Amino acid sequence: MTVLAGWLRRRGHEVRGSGMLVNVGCAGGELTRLEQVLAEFDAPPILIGQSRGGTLARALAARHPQAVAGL
Amino acid sequence: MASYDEADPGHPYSIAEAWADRLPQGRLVSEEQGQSPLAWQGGRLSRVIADFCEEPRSRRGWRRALEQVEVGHRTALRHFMAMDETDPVSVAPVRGELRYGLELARLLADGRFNRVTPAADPRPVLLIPGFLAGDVS
Repeated sequence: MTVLAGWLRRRGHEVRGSGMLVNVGCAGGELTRLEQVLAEFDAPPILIGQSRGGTLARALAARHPQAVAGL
Repeated sequence: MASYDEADPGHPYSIAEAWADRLPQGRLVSEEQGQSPLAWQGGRLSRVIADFCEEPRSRRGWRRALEQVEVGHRTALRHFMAMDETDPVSVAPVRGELRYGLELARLLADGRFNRVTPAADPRPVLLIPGFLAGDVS
């Protein structure tokens, strides 16, 4: 994630993390947390999720299709 | 066992409803909408199964239920076997995970990785780590 974040920043993207120290929480709780992070963006972001992060990203996009630019 | 779990959109509620409709001895059970999935609550799930098993049911009814389960298993097995024939999946050995450090070093040293072209329309990005990983992974 840090390597990818650095590469994206060098490309000019504003990159934010999920705020997760470790992705082990219940999906509902993690989605609520991600919704808060999503609300902090000025423009709809692209979601990039790895493994379970991809599943959460898909659920987040399904809940807030207008607030997500892509997966 | 159906679930309203939004985090698992690959298994929609309607699939469970369809199974329940087709199984003569079947019954659809689920959590209340907005509650934690019943399938994840071991104790409660066990009670649901125990209650179902304790219901009076004729020997013929049990045999029919078991036959339905067997048919379901066979159908699923045929499905997976067919998948295996048409789309064989090679499983990498676990020891391959040990190459992580070398692969990372190779990536960081790669000229294509380091020659960054600024994006024409750099949209913001939200990164979500995988299971057991975090933002600093």
